[in-house]
Amino acid sequence: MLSCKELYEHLASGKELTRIQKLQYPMHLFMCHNCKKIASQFKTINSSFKKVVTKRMEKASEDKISELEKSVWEEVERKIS
Amino acid sequence: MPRWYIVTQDYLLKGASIKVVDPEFTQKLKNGDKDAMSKIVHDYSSHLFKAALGLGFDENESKELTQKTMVKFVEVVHKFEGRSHIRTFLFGIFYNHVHEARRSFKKAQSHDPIDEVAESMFDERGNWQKDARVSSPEKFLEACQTMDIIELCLDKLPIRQKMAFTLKFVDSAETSEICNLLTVSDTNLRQLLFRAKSRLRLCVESHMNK
Repeated sequence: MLSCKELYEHLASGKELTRIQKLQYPMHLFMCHNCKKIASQFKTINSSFKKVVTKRMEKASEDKISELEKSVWEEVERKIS
Repeated sequence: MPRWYIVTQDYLLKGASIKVVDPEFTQKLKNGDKDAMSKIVHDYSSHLFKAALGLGFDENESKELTQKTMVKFVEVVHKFEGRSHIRTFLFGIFYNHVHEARRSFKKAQSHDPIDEVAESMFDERGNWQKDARVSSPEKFLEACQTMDIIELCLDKLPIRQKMAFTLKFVDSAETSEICNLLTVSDTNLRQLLFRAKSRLRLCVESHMNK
């Protein structure tokens, strides 16, 4: 029988479930209140943290990127010539 | 065609026009061809810059990391054997510099207290402990909408766990590529993700209860 711990490990690490465990998975989630909550929490974690990281990446404006490309190229060009 | 020749990752290639390993292009790079080098700088500087920002480096640090990665690339491109995508090679250099910048690199850390915390939530049969308290999805979602909590918890993650989590869930990179980039096995990657997600979850929960 798929245990709560095995289900948690699967949700947290992406560890593959066996074929039998895959069949047991939906029923376990239906019956187990805590696992249901954990599954939902991990889903929230993935989307919320993705949002934060994406927001940080947006600080790289077109201007900053082209300025950076220019200075990187100057350095690289010096190195290869 | 070997799997590593096939481009599967959207984010890193957005805007990049080098789609597959091209032996002629690789040779040009090794010969120090200016056009080829310029293409690499043009195609990948922004990706490196954004990846560094996403990992929580400030703008100047991110610029410096991009610059260092590109310079190192020029120095070591002759070692590139064409067995992986040029992007993987470049980002491999980048992640090495990230480790150095954070100076917290511990290869395949075997012990992490988060493992015990996660273990203690279950009894010997693998069921939840009777006193285990898991917050409701609604309250948890509410806490995750508070940017400060998310930023704080993300920055508390050890750098390797943060990189694994970001590559997997932000960049949606293939497992094989993440293993290649971080030079870890499948099992080690699962361990990093397990620790990252367990830590993020507990961190959010602990701030909810404050």
